[in-house]
Amino acid sequence: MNEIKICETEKGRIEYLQAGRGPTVMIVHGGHDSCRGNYMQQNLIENNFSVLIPTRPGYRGTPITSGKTAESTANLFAALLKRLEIKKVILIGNSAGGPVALEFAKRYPEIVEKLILESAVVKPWFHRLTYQYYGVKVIFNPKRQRKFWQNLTNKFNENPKKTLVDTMKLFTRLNPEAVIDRMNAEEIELLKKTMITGNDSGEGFVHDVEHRAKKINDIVCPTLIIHSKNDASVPFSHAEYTHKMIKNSVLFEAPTDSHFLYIGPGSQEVLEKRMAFIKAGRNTRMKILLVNAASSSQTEIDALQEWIYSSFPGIQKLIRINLNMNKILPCNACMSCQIKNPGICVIKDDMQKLLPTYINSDIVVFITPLFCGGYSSELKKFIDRMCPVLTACFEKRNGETWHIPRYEKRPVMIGIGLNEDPGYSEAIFNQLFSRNMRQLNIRKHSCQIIAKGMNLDELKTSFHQTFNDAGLLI
Amino acid sequence: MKSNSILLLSGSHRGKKTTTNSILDYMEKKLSIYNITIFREQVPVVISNLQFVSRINEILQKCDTIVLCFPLYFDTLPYPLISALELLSNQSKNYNKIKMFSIVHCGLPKYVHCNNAVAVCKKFSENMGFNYSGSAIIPDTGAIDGSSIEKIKRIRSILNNSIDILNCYRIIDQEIKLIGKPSMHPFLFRIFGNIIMKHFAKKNKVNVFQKGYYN
Repeated sequence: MNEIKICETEKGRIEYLQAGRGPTVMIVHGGHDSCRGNYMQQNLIENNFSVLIPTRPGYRGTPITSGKTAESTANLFAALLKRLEIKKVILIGNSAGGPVALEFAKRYPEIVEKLILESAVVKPWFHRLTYQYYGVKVIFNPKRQRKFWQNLTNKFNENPKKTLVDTMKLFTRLNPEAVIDRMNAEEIELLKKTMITGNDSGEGFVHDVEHRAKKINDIVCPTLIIHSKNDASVPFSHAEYTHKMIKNSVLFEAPTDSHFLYIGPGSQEVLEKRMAFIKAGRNTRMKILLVNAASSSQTEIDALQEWIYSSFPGIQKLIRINLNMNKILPCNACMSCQIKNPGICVIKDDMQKLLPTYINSDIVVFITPLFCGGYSSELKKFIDRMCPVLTACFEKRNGETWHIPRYEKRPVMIGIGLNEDPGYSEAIFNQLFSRNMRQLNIRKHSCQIIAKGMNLDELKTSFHQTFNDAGLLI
Repeated sequence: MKSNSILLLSGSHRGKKTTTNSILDYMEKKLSIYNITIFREQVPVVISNLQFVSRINEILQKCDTIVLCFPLYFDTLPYPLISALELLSNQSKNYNKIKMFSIVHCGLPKYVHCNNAVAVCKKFSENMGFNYSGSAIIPDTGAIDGSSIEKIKRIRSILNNSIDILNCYRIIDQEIKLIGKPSMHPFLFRIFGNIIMKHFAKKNKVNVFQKGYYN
């Protein structure tokens, strides 16, 4: 999953790039760029995040008709997330993508978990009565902009150092020559691509200068503002203003030389700060439910419990249910939980307390011995009784007809099958678990068969892999 | 080889008025024409003792075919059937002369939901030493609920084909999979299904989407 795709949303067509697995980080790219740009996404992917970069309207594969203003672009992104069934994102707004990121965070607080602004534009860039405003409108006019970038590339090919220095003047308050001298060859190559050869303003940039972020004091999510005082392109006053307006914000003065936070000395600190902010507070207040159908495999369950405590240090609650110690009667398919008393099971047994526990959990782990590749009867009894979490109505999902889930909040699900031979019926177990997850409309899930008699280290490695596959580890 | 005595095992524990029983009633009626001895059993709600299992074992000594008919719960076998098969499997004997055939029916309109249940049945058959002869998948059976299937052509035809296979009127040397048709296109199924479900809920003065447990 690392390719550029086109999505037709209810708000219009949009091009996007999606890569990696795990919690989603959505990056709103800067000016003259697209989803092809470098936003150090590899760093995020390596830390088990999935990266989503939509191309803003007017750039490359996203037509300007999909959204001319920051507001309409934010709506377009929300429509994309809906199509991709992504419920939460950590949002990064870079440079000219700032107004869109701010507008999105303000309009969709239920989606944005955290906001990071990197050298982001917040205040109006140029006043309409200034020559810079009209300069931008003329130079980056959609009909002329290609010529501008071609001329710049030609100049660079003739005299690379001078062109880099001349262009860098626009992005740093320091001596541009000294700034470039402090970069290594790899960074200079990246700078060349970021600043000159990789750019295409399309129809986007002339609209970017019109984007306005309004009422940003309504933003409530935790916000990190990263900005360098040496930035000549977007003055540091933008960051100070944002910090003043957003109450729940932290301002980090980047020790970098220019507008480009990922290039040159100080870039490592920026990446570390960004990652620390993204990771902070995750895995806390999590409720984990272990549904154990394997009464005779205490070693594995104890190892799993211990591993969970060490891997999720901030968990609020871990509930372990041994199914054989609970009174659970079989589902009698009476449909009462669908049409008589929707969502409530009519059978008065321990499921009356187990179902709400399931519904309120953030992670649910099923541990079951395998019977002919499927679940054991003990676990199947529990799953059959999960009917109340689905409604009686139907919808089409992934080309199939399924019941509509009753609850918006659904846990991350992990399935652990225990067997003498892990290769035995692996295909059946994987197929069954993934189909059940589709049925319950669980977006993040993973399953694995663990061989009985594994030592502790092997078990830990297996647990790590399974939870990692579900995007739970960071 | 033609079947002479067949065990029809119902995987539904819900009493008599069920789709599984309707299917097995039809099968029993048709098979009896061919002078086949029929044993019929139903899995109990809770398999608390081994009485049921020993009875099945006894029948298996006498018959040459076992037909497993069950409804699909969460894309696989229902709990009471798994429980019964687990117990049977623990007492497994080498039944290598017995033919096994499974009939899976589900409420949803696409047969793919039943594929996993068929795979589990096949695995069980291998474990027990049965010869797995195949399966019949009947989608969209939600509306039957115990009524006769004599007038439902799409189900009748797939059951007649299954009976032919059990009688070896068709010589087939590999596992076969009979797939039934839904009563309507999935799109219409969703539309009518939603209307009917909402109607039932409305009759009970409830909202079909209401949150049951506190979330």
